[in-house]
Amino acid sequence: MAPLVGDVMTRAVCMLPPSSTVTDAARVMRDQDIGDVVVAEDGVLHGVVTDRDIVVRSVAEGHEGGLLLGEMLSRQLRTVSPEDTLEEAAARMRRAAVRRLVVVEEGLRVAGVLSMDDLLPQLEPGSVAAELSHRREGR
Amino acid sequence: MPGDPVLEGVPETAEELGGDVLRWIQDTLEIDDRTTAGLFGVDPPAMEEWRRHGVPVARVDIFRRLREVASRFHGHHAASPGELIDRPLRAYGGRTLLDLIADPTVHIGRAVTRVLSNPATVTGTPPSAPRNVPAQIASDLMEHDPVVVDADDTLQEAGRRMRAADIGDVVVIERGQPVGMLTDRDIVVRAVADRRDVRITHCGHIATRPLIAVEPGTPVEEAMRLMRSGGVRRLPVVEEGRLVGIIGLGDLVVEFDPDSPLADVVVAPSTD
Repeated sequence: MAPLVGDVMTRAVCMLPPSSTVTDAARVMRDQDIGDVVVAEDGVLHGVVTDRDIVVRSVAEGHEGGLLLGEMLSRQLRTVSPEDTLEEAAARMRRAAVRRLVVVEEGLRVAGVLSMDDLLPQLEPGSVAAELSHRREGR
Repeated sequence: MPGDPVLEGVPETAEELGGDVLRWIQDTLEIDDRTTAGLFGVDPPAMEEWRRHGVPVARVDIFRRLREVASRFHGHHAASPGELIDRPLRAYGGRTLLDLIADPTVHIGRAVTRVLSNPATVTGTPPSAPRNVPAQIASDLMEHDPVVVDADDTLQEAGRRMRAADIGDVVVIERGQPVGMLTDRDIVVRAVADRRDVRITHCGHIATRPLIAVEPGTPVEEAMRLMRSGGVRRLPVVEEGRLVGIIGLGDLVVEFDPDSPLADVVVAPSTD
């Protein structure tokens, strides 16, 4: 049987509570070499903060880094379910132009994250999703 | 990497980032000075300088990635880095490990582990150069009037301009000349993470230098190679010390193959 999102996702998720600060998130991004941090409380997803969010919503406003993550989350959640197929997940990444999705179970409970790196080796070479491997975030 | 003498604590001393470790990376990966310098976005003579005085802190990111790759290859007898390092990888759409090292969006440690554990992902032939691209030059594709900040401007001002223009990087100008690039990520990992006050910290302190740039007459193919090796998405175009434009990877991909599914993705607007 073809693997599903739950079979290939990364279960160890770096999560911060909404009461963490922008500085906390920036440190996690630096130390883990990642561009986004999952914000959750008691395992329930509140949102995701990216490095760009920090610049646009905190730095540009002149905040000192003490801004709470809960105060700056975008409400648009890009998620997949552990039961989704890998093709569905790849299509969602493509539409949203992102490289990572949060995997949630019922009640927005965080189960893991699915990154392009998790997905690629599972997909057929030459498929649309595999071509995504070229993607860089041009802006 | 706790306990790692090279990366722990990091990284401002020549002893930690300098000659011996750099040489070890090159020996383990079997890459020459030219290739290594390309990955760091500098000239080979600068590498000699680094051997004596250490790798500049501004280039620590790429150094860490190389170190990570070297440590995964080290002691792995199933594959020779020299054979693998520039082979197209099927699982990565034909890109090579060298390409992946230069791409900050790829988790390089996992990529190497995957390649080492499954040599079948490596296709047989090294990439043929030059690739099939039209002979165009940077000035054909560049965007005019790139967004700039002065080295004395604050990070807050840089953030405002990035927000206003919906871009992720600005060119830093000092005494009328472009001297470096500043990305949104630079601001986050080098300033916000260190609790620097973004209202008073100057862009010149945080920017990545030296500037990796092209001239108006630089062939587009060469510009693409520089972007890959430097791990950057956009390159300033500089003529006689003056900034005249900027070209981005998105422009290049669309230009070459507007029908490719890849083009859609590269130019897809961020919905953040």
